[in-house]
Order: sequence, then structure tokens, then C-alpha cells
Amino acid sequence: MAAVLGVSAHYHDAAAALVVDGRIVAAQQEERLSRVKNDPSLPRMAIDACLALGDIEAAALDRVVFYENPYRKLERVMVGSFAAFPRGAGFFRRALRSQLGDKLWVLDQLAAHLGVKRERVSFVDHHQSHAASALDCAPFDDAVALTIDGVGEQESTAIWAPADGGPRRVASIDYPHSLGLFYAAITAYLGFRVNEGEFKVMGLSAYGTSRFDDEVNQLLRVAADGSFRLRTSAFDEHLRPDRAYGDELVQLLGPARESQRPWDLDSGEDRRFADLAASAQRALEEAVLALGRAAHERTGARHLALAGGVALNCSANARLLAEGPFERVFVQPAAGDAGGALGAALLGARSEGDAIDGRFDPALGVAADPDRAMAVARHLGLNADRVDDPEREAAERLAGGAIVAWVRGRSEWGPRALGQRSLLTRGDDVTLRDVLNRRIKGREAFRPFAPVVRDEHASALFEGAPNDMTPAMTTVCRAMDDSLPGCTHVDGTARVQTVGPEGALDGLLRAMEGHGQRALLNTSLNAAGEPLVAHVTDALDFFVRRKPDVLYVEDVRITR
Amino acid sequence: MRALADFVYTFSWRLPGRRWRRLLAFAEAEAESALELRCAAAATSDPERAALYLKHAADEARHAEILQRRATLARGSAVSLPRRGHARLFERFGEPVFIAYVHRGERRGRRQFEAHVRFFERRDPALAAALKSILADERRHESYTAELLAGPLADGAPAARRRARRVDLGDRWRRVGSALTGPLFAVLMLLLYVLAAPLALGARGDRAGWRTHD
Repeated sequence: MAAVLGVSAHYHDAAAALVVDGRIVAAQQEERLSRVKNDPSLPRMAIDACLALGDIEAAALDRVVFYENPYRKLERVMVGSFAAFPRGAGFFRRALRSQLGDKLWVLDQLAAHLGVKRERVSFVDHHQSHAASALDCAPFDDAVALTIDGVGEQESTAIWAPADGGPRRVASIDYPHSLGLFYAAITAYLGFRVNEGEFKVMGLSAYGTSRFDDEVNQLLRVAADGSFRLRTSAFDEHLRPDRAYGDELVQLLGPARESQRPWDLDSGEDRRFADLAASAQRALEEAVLALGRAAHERTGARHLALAGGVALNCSANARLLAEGPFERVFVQPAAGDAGGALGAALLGARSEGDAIDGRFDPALGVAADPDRAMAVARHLGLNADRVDDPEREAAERLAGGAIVAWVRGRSEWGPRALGQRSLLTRGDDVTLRDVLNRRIKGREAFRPFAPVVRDEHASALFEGAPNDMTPAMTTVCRAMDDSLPGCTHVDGTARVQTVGPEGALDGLLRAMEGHGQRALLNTSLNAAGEPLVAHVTDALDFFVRRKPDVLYVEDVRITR
Repeated sequence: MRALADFVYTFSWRLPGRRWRRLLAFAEAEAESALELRCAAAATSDPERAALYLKHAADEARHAEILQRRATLARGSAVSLPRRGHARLFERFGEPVFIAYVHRGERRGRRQFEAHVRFFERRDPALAAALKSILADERRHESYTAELLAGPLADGAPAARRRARRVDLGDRWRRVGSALTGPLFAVLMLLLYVLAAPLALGARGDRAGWRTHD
């Protein structure tokens, strides 16, 4: 019986997770509290929040586990810079500065922040953390884990079999051959921010025609055994991490897109970039499918659990389920580096002898406080009052075309708003979608929104829904008809969320059915470039700045 | 004294090609301040002060947008704000020190913006007008933070002011230190890199394909 804190930090999207007696008690991304998107810094606020949520003092922690081996990571960074001699001089300087200034001392930093003995702080492998988070949270047994990201210590991809002490590595592919690196380079080439704009590439790809397959296949080649190879001379990730691509990639694909220019998909130039996104997405999907088949061949498992940043590519996940060899596929919702904190905590709990409680609900973050929301709202000059039936009232407003900010319970773990910190509107009205994109969210017009529907109506509206990925929106499904144009993408798919009777949006969706609506458009409660809201003050800040029609914090209704 | 302050604060405007960079640096500072204030709003126990911090954060975010637009105009092409963290002052030092620090920053900002407005009034009236709109907010921020330190946060305010001054001086010292030691570090690292170059011979190649583990 142990209390174990897992931590990820110092690359991007730092987080903390608390596992007590084998049960996941809390998990929190630092960005949600610091308000710095993808905050990589030591997650002090997230750690403190997890301890508070678990009602546990730091001194009572049996173990603190960091999600990767900082020493092996340093080795890989150094080797990479020497291998690029003499071009690696600048990278060597920058890398040593950050390694010696911060990263190398992370275990000591954790001990100092928590006031625990250094011996109680340990580390595990990066990809093993990912694998543990996927296997332990999956709703099935007889599974293999596939972890795919940019890079951990040395690996970019690995296949894992379940074992008593934690996932056992079956096979792996080493960096720089990395699907995460490939997609990051394409992301930067298209003018988006690496580690953030990957979702945009995926959304953009649906507007394109994959006419650059030949060129892209020169960058990423899939082998018969399911592995893949990058043309490494076209990538510069270890020398220019913010860009990831090299001059050779530009020679192959043409000039890169300027990052600040507004998108115009009617222009020939931006059509070319959309077509490139389509080819890159297609290449990634083929590579992921091949990896899935390889994982199945090597283990014979019936089910697949996915983690690592590439596992957030919901279009690839959908193809893996539809065309791959597995009966069921699950993605741990915080599949990126944040999720490593959860895996590290679970591995720590196993090593303390605890059996893992596989029940998993992504509402693991800080709780909403309606009393505080009401008090702060009134000091902001807003109208705030309690309502008897917020679901019924919100449904009436939504039916009338309102855009509703919705805060319920504990905040979400992972990048998707799942009804705890959501912006909602009708899914059958493209005008509302456009208002949401332009005025409220400030996003590119080509980015799609997602529908949310109760389990019992899912199969009538979306092919293959519900499945193990739809509760956390980590896959896409084809819409049965065109009744939800506001939240169906241009290719006819939607990143649908399905909600069971315990879901945060179940009551609201039931109330919507009284207005003839079986689904809603559900998007994250944040503006472009900002982290998802966590605290009620963040929700109020958003409400004041971005002006949705109404904000509900539990049973408190806030209007202007 | 004012002439000296004007010269110090406006010196770099006179350097060619510096205008957009400086405006962007101001925008960055305002954006960071907005994040810091949002965290403070979440952390303070008092709902009234939480509302004050949120209003202040909204001002800072608006200032950042104005300054970013001005930087874009000055450069002639779009500039984006680099994403950085913030100092997490509330979390590290508590609310009184945080407010004392914010007050120092607002007072310094107000003085600087007064100098900038004087500098640009005839040279670039549009920019001067934009800066003047920010200056009005800076005065209000300076005033409300002073009221907090004299009122609800008065207990321990003198100590908080002293601590804030030390934190501020420490920050400046680190900035100066970083500027001075940066070039030395770069030279030393280059030397180390060259001396360690033979290690490149032992660097692993980019092995592709599966590695199987028993």
C-alpha cells in the first residue's frame, strides 16, 4: 500500500500524477495551472495540486518517480551533437546550458521541492512510462502496448508486452528514425509550432489531395517488417528543435510556409501546403498501421493500447482500428509527454507491490468551485446566480443558438475537453461553428470541431461509435449523414466523443433531446494558443475576454 | 533628472532597426505579466482581489496585442510572440511580495512609458498615441497596487516591499550576469566541443529497423 507521485518535466507539457494504493487519485498538467501552453518547467503547481487532491502530505509519499532517465538522455544529446560535428557546435552549447542548468538535476529539484529524501526519488524509462500508462488504463486484458513519439532516451518507437513488474520491452526503433520527428518537421514546414500544431496538420490534411506521396515517401519509408526509416539528412531536429527540418527537405518539397501568413485554401500556394499535409498524414497512417501489424505479429495480442505523442493522431488511430489486426484499440488520453507522469506513478506503485486498479476516468485535475466563481464574477461586475436545473436551462439556451461555456467537476487529463471545461453549441449550424472559430476561439477556419453524443445514439450518428477511444475523443468516425455540419470535418469524419450515464455531459445531452438535438458541438474552453481552462478564475477570464453567451460553473449561471 | 531618464529610457530607439525588437520585447513582458496575474487570481483567497488581478491581466494581454501590432508595423512583416514562462512570483513569495513586486514594475513601466511618449510625440504620433493608451492603464495599476499595500495587504507590507526590491535586484543581476557570461560560456563550450570532437568517431550511426529485446 503506497503513495507514489509520478512527474514528467523539462521537455514539453510537464505534469504530475498521484497513485495511492494502486488507484489513480489525481493527474494534472502544469500548463493548466501556470497558463503557459505546453509548459515544460518542473511542475511544482501540478505536484502541489495533486497532493492537495489526494489530501496527502509530501512527507507521506513512498516514492517519487520521474518519467525518463535524465542521464541517458544527456548521453543521446551529446552523441547527437558530436555526430553532427562541426555543425553541432551551437546545439552542443545550447544543450549543455539547459542540461547543466536544469535538466540533469531534476531528481534533486523534485526532492528539494517536496522536502523528501533524495533516495526516495527515482526514474524509469521514457517509453516504459508511456507503455504503463496505456496498458494500466486500458479497459481490456490480452493487450500489447505500442508507444510512438519523437524520442525518449534513445528510442522513438517500442512494442511492449504486459508483465508483473510493468511493461516488458519486446522490440524498439531508435531515434532519429522517428514518426514524431517526421510529423514535427512537417508541422514546422507548414508554419505551425512544433509540439502544438500537429493537430492543425491533421485537420488541414482533409482539405488536400495526397499528390505528393512520392516525395513524402522519400522522407519516410516503411519496411516489410513493419519498421520504418527516415531520410535523416532531410531532418535537423537535434540541431534546430524548433524547426526539425533541414535544407534537403525544402529542396524536395519546395519552399516552406511562412508562419504568420493567414491561411487561404482557395489560393494555389496554400492548396499545395494542404496537399503536402494530406500526403504526410497518409504516410504517417501507413507507418502506424505497419507498426500495429508488427506488434500483433510479435505478441499475438488481441488488443492494442497506444501512447506517445503520435498516438494523439486520431485519424491514424481510426485506421488502426478499422484496418489493423486488433479487435479493440485504446489510447491513453494524455498520450504525449504529460502522460509519462501517470505511467511513472503506476510503475512506481507496481514496484512498491501494489496491484493496479484499472478503473480510469480522465476527470483527474483540479475541482470547480462554484461559490468562488460566483463571488469573483460579482466583483467583475457580472451577473451570477444559482439555478435549479442548469442542464435544462442551458439546453434551452443552446437550442436557441447560444454558445455556452461549461465548467463541471474536476478538470480533464489530456488535451481534449470532455465536458468538464467545454465550450458547447449546436452541431447542426455552420454559422455557429464559424462564430466559434473566428470570434470566440480565434482559430484557423479550417480546423474542425468535435461532436458529443450519448452512447445510445452514437451508432445511429457515427460509424463504429461508440468504441474504446470515443469517450476521450482519440479517434475519428465517419458521420452517417450530414445532419451535423458544424462538427463534421470536410472529409465526412468527426472526432466524436461518446458519453455514458456517468459522463459530465450526460444530463445536458438528455435535456437537448427534448429540443430535438441528439448531439452537441464540444470544444475546449480556451482560445487559440492558450491552455485549457482549469480553475474557475481562468473560466471567468475567458468569459470576460472572449464573450461566449453564458458560463455555467456547476449550478452557478454567469452572464454579462 | 528627467532629461537623463529620457535619454536612458529612449536611447535604444535611436539605434537603427531596434524599434520593432524593443516593441516586441515590451509585448513579451506584458504577455508574461498577464499570465502571472491570472495565476495570482487563481491563487489568492480573496475574490475581490482575484477580480482585480483578472482585470489587470486583461489589460496586460491587450497591451501585448497593441505592442505586437506596433512591432509588426515597425518591422514591415508579421512578428510573433515567443512563448516563455513567467517568474511564478505569487507561488514563490506569497501575495504581499507579489503585489509589492508588481507595484515596482508598474511604477517603473509608467516612468518609462512617459519617456517613450515624449520621445515619439513628434516623431511617430500614432505610436505615441498607442503608448499613451497603455500609460493610462499603467497609472491605474500603479495606484491600485499601492492601495492594496496600504490596505488589505498592509500587514507586513514594508517587509514585502523590501523583499520585492531584493527579488527585483536579483533579477537584474542575473540578467546582467547572463549577458556578461554568455559570450564566455559560448567560447568555453566551443573549445570543449572541439576538444571532444574525436568522440564523434565513436558516435553511433543512425541504425534503422527493429531492435529486438529478450
